[in-house]
Amino acid sequence: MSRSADDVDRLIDAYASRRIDRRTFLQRSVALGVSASALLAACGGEEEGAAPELDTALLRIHLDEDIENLDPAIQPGHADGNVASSIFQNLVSFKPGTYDPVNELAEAWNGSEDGLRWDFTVKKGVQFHKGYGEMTAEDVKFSFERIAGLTKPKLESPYAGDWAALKVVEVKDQYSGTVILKEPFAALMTTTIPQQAGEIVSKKAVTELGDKFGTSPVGTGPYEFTEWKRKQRVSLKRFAQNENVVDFADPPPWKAIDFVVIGEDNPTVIALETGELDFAVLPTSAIDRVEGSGDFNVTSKTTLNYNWIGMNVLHENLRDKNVRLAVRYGIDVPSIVEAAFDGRWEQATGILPPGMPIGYWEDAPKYERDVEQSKQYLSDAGAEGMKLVMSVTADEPGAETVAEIVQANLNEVGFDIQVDVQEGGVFAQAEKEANAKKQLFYTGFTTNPDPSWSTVWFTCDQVDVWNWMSWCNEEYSRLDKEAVRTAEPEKRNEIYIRMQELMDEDVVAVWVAWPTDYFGTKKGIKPSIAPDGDYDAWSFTTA
Amino acid sequence: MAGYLLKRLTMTLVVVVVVMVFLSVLVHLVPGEPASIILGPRASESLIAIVREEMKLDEPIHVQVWDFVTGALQGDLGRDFLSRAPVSELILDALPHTIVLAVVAMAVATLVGIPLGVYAATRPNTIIDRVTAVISVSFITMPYYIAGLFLLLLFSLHWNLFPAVGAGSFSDPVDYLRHLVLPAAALALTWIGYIARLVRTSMLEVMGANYIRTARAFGLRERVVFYKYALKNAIIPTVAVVSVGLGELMGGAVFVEVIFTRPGLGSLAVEAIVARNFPVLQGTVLVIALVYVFANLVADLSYRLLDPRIRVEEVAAA
Repeated sequence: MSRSADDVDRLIDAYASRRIDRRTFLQRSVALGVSASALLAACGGEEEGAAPELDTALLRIHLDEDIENLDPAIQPGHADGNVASSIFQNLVSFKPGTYDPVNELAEAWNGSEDGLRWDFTVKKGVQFHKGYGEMTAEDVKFSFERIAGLTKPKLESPYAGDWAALKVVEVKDQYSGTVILKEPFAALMTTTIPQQAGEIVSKKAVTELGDKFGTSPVGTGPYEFTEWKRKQRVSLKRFAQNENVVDFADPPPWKAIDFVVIGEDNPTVIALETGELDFAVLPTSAIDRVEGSGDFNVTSKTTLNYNWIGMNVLHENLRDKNVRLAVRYGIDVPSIVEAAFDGRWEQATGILPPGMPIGYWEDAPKYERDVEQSKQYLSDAGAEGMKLVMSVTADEPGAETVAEIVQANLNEVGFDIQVDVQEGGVFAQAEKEANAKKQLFYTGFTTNPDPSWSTVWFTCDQVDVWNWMSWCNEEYSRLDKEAVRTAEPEKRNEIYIRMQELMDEDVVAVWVAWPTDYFGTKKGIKPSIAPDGDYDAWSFTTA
Repeated sequence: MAGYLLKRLTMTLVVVVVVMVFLSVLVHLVPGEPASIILGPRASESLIAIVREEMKLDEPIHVQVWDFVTGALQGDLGRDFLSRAPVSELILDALPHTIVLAVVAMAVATLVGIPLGVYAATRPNTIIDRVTAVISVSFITMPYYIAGLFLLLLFSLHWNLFPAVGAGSFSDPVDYLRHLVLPAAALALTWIGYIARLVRTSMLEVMGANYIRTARAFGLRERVVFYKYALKNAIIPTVAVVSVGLGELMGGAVFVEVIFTRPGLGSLAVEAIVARNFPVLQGTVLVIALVYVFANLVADLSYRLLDPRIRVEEVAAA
């Protein structure tokens, strides 16, 4: 073999094993005097019919924070979930980009009329990664009962709440069994089974690997875990053995996926522009720039998350409803959305956005700023010149701008607003002493595609914990429990709308925005974005 | 010399123990309930209790101090609560990247700063000297993160010469070096300015000394006078500053690591603070402090090795 042929082989090896990035690969191929596209094809890159610039050897996806633990029972952050969704599969999942349930690992999945018994049969021949053998009903039992805290030794999972209703999983034979609940649980088929708490792990791998399972995960998904370089990237490679399991989406075209960790906005956009990323979540300030370059498609999705200005009703300054009404009518929400989010987020009118499958309150009032009315309420309360502290954290995007506008708006009405910008950990304390100090605050909560995960934080038993408004409404709390046990979607819908009406009547929040996520994708790639703005890398396809 | 070394090492040990005590008390000084911040809103009370127990948050402070100090002395810095990995493993992963970054940045700063300072000193009060002064002061006043962003925009985005993010892999040194160029340059700029000004001032001071006048009177060439006799003495303060500067750069690297998305002690510490991941924070800060203390020790010793007058004074005093 000639020297240059050796060099070419070494170059291909280096790229295929990801010891060099794509740019280096292209530069070195030019230096060797060979066609870069021919080499990419040699790497398993271009497939017939694909765009000439697009190679399918490696897809590079942006992670805005590093992973910590990919174990479905632990997964502390959203980055863990974004990576894990390509490694693990569920009995029933959502069709990519929708909330339409489809059987994934389940051959059959049927619930009893009372919603307490769910019979399942798993597909035969589904293999776990890394030679951990065939997936069986025993693995299903282990995966669910482990998160619920029913296995020995007992695991304390932060997601035990997803399986709080689980009584037991009975195994009938190697491939079938029954999930038995203690009580009906409406979120079972919206957030538990199809999402992270329903991901199936290998019992053998968890037992063998122990604590290391979180950083050496074993699932059945389209991609298997290969390497984690802390603060740099997580690498997955395509797992061909289970290609026939998913019949509701195209087979993944990429041989490997790298999740590239970049925490800051500017470097993320630069990395996208320099070709070091194929897909990134964009800050709103970069949308025009990325769109204008002509090399990327920008798509958006309004999330299910909600941002609001809360009022602590137990604080002496805000006990009087007239003061809270003065705040409601004194704040110009459209200006906030325009200034803090470049007008690119949707103005919120309640806790549940239109994208939430159940509970969107279509007729919710959209309050407009009315200075005179606000002054009147303030006067009725006898609180002209009242000093109020508005606390925010710089960790929340746009929070300081929100605070500035609120300060200007309310000072004009007759308040005296002091802005307190706090460090993230200090702001997010969920304990009695810290909550008692809060007056006005601006924050945002993330959620899942079931309204119960949005409303649960404002019940009476969350006062002194995550209910920073310290608002205790017995009817709201009762309805929250009732909705979780109600199976009929129409009935649930009514309950959640009533709960939002109660929040509105008691004037505990000024709803600001339902955040919208923007994604920059290299042309030739079609991303798969769920209705809540989450993405599944395994179901990205070539355009 | 042996006595001095023993005294300095004892002092170093005391400083390290004080740092460890401070770090174990740190958990109680930082506001916020660490267990609930680490675990998030969906954690049950029993899970929070387990983490508090594992972090020993309910133990008396003196027990926590003792456990941390004795553990650290045995190389056990605890476990990261999220990934379940030993903290020492996280630090060993990150430390080489930060050390390489700091050492290369200081080497670049020294190699550019010293000639720049000497060049300015050979032409005092000329336009070249003033231009050098403006450049040096500009570099000194430029924060690391501003320099980093400028370099990213120019050399990565505009000219597409170097990668924008990541550190590459040690198994591919060429690729690793390509990833290192911009972060090292961002860190080096400030120190280029600082060293250039320091060398210039030292050189001008030395050039007025009697032995330089004598060398010139002997008819030695100006280049020999400058580089063989003047620079040798003028460089002593710079060596000390460079040694201490290495420790400083370990801390300064945090901004550059964040901007260039490099793994390293700085970014590890920042994330640990945000997440209240105290075992990781304590371990990281301890290692940075150790490097700083060690760099100070090296600076002190190098001073004595380079300047015979210090040794003579010590002997005379004895």
